[in-house]
Amino acid sequence: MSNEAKAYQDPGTPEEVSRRAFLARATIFTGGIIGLGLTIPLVASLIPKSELIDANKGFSALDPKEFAQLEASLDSPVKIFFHKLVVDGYYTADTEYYVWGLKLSAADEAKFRQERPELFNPQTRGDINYPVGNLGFVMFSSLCPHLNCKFDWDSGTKNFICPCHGSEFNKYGKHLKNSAGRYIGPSPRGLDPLPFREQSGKAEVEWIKFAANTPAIIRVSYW
Amino acid sequence: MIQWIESRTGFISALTDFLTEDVPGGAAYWYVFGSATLLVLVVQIVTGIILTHYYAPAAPTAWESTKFIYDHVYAGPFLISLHYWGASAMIVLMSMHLLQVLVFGAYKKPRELQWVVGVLMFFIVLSMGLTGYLLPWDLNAYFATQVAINIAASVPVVGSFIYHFLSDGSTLGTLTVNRFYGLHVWATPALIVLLVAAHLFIFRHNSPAGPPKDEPPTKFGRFYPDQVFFDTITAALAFVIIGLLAIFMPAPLLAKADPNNAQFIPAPAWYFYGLYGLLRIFPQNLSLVPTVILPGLFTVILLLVPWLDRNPSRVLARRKYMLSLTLLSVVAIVWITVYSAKIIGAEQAASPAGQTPVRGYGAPPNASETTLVPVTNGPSSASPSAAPVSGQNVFAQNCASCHGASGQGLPGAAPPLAGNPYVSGNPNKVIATVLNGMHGQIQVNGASYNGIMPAWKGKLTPEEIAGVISYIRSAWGNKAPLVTAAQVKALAK
Repeated sequence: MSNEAKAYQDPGTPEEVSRRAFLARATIFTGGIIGLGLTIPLVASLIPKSELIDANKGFSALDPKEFAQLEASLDSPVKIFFHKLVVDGYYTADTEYYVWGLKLSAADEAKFRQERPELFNPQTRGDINYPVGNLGFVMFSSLCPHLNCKFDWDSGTKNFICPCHGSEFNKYGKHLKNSAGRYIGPSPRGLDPLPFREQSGKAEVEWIKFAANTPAIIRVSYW
Repeated sequence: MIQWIESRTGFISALTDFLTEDVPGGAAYWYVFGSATLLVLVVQIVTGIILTHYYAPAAPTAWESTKFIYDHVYAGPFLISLHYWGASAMIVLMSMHLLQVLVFGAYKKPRELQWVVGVLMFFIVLSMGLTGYLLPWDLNAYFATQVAINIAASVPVVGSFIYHFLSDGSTLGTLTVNRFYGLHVWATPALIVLLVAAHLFIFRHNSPAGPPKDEPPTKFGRFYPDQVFFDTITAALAFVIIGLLAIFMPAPLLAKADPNNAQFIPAPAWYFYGLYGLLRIFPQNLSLVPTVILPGLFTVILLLVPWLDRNPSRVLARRKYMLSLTLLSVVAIVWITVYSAKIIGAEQAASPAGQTPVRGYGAPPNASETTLVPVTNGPSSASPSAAPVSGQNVFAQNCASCHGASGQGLPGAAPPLAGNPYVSGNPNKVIATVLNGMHGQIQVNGASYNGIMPAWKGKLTPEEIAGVISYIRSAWGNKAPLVTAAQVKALAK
């Protein structure tokens, strides 16, 4: 097509040329201001606020009946259920959680420190900056550290077994190896113990979700 | 008339201009896949828009509104199923288009950027499959997406940011489904439309590549009507197939997402089976290989094909190396997809908890209408329905996925209801169990079970609970007296 727009045919006086150059630059500049003025807050709005990540932090009380089950348990871990009012974005849901509770005698506590040295070494314990297994009980998160499936206790082999990819842990939560010396299942670490305390006669546990699929122990959320 | 519109808008000559195009070497069925993909995209957009008139993207409403579409929207199952099967059709046709372009060497100069735009669209459409998958918020949607974003979190450096950005916070919750909805319905389609426009513009600029020959074409076919006819036939065939699938295999909806369900085995969409298979093959300490390194390499190589393939010839006989690589890749991808399908099939057969759909293909047969249950949790107000509650329907939709369609139970997890003395015994105990749930190890007829039964108080009306209990107490050989809604209400306080 050779019908050029007529206004562009005559290059114009030097004044007109410099005027147009200024207008072009001014347009780009103004457009840039509008663009940045919109883009920066709008893109930033998509980044979740840290308050979302820290929401729901706090201890939850255990029902005395549930805790009594734990007290009465002999050598095997038991599922301990509790309720937590979870704030999920813009609505609240009364959610049921469970943790695996294990009663530890004094000998057990020593054994626990032996089996899980990584939990007591400041360099490897990651975000576990609370006392673990020292009150006669340890509470394990019910989420497998591999990809957060819920695992089960097999009373036959007396081990935890995750149904998703077959990781196995002993009652102290240690990731087990088979007779050939290879780890059973793809879990990157042992089971994660949760904060536990007794407060004015009530037992309480804090639900923490740790990062999956990594050997490091990193807190991700509280629900 | 046409002249009147043409002189005022220029639409007619623009359309004629668009349709009047040479097809080098003549029109052929080889070239239909691009148009077919575009037409299925239109189907997806139209069905998607209609679905957004009914779907509500929040954790307490996503599944409920999806089920509502199945039950209370005219041709609801058909609408959802068109969208569901259309997504698969899109991936299939897009892949065939990619393969055809690859084999015909139509990515070579001057069409390199056309190829890049196309490959970008390929991955963006795959991401649509990922974001759309979560929206029904059923068991599979929830757990499969949990796995997917956990994998995304394992990418070094940016993984944590990607995880927080996708989940909008730190855990899969209502903000996640809201975010995926925004991505799936607005952001990604807008991007796709822009790229489609770019793809078509570049296509016209370079004119079609034509047959895989090196000499310039001597004969030319007509785009309209010849090629358009082939495109239309293929599109019609695609629509017939999608339509038949939508009618005879409607999209399945499983039970609502329940984070406490420890037995459910999730599976990604079939077009991600290849990635799933890779993940299973590599051991944990090499997990970066199947999640980041191999897919990353695949993406980069695919994008750079026009620059990696320096052979100036398009003739097939002179491109044996390239064609063998392509064939090898296709065979590898198909093989690993089939391998994954077998693994997933076996695992789900071994642990079928939650796999029975409540709607769509594979759902137990039930009446077409269900009572409208209030969405809010807490003590339920009187049910507004006038129709009598079918205990059998309530069972099929809520209980069968764990207790079995015939009350046979699930070994180790959910006890059988058929021939279960507890079920036929004291009615108050049965009512309390259904209202409040149950967990912990129990023994039934000599076998032990250790699952978690959710509490149904507030999720089912007293009429529905009475109906389903009466049903289980009189089915499969059980012969126990019925219970009434009043009995349920008395215990629900």
